[in-house]
Amino acid sequence: MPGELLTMGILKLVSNTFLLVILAVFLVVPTGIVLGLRPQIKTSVLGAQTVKSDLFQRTFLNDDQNVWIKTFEKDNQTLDFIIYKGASNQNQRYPLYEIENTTAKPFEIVFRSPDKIFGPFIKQKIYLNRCMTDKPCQSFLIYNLVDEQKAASELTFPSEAGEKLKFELLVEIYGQTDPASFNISFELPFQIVTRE
Amino acid sequence: MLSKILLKLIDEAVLPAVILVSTKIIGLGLINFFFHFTFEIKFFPQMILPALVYTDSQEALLANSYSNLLMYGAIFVGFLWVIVKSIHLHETHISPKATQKLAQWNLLKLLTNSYNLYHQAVVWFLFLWIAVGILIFYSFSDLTYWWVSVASLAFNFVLTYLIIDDVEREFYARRAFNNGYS
Repeated sequence: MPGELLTMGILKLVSNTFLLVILAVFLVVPTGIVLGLRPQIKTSVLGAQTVKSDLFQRTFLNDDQNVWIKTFEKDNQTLDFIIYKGASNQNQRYPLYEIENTTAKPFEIVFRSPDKIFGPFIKQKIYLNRCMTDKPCQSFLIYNLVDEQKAASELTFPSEAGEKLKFELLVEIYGQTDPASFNISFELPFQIVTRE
Repeated sequence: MLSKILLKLIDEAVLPAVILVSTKIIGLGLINFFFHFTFEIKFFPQMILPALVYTDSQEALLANSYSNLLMYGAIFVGFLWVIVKSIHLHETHISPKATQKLAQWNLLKLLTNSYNLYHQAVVWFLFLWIAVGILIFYSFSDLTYWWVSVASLAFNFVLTYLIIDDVEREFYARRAFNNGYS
């Protein structure tokens, strides 16, 4: 008799666990499907394209699918970045582009800091690096989510006639981050100012 | 007894589960169709479901926000119907006048007992909070407007209050019944 009771008890326990698992499946599977239907942004990369204008020749350097430059038009000079799957270490560099002043006059390249960075709450500092062939890159802070230190709201880089400037983004991550899910996006307004 | 409860809960969970998924898919389809958004359906090897890939992040945000809103709205309406039944069509505390009217209109089948009602309520309540959890997750990922999550959360609190209030009424009704017959 006690053996039968024990068997019955075990059977009941097993069947109830099974039903509980089915109920959990009914709750978890729809949730998973809805979360799996999250929209994704197309990750098209301009690669090593060269853009020429009356003022400059610009070659994009982002050849490793780390930076997506969405908008880059002469009339609407704003760089729209989505950086994804890149932060494999704490200081990740994203080559941006090389810009050559093709005029006989100097001009200025003016960058304005992004207002907001979209993405997971990762503490980060973003620098714009200006690199020259024979010197180490100079870093300029454009966004700071680590402390309350203010980033420069505007950065001006003079460019002499025929001069080549190379720009890159440097992202400093503070704390742990998963490189596979790292994904931030921001706009970097940019303008070329000619001098008479 | 426990297996009976679990079976009933599973039975009641089918409808909200289907509604949650189908309204999300229908919502995405409708919004993409009416707003003429540019997107592709892609299959990635690491993903079970196909992905909707947008070329514009704003379009992705808008499509996801409004499809989530539709999904939440459907679950909200479902749970609201359970609450309406629990307040106005509940066997244990329906007024004699209302019963008489239902009988006149031949709608007595709308009357619900506590067993069916509270199993439904538990399941819809879970889905309501799952839906809000999904919205909050999406808002943190910048894929849904925050106002959608905040408004849904506020509605959830209201519905939660209403169902707790009804459970309380049921409790007092049962206590009064038991005291009367003991």
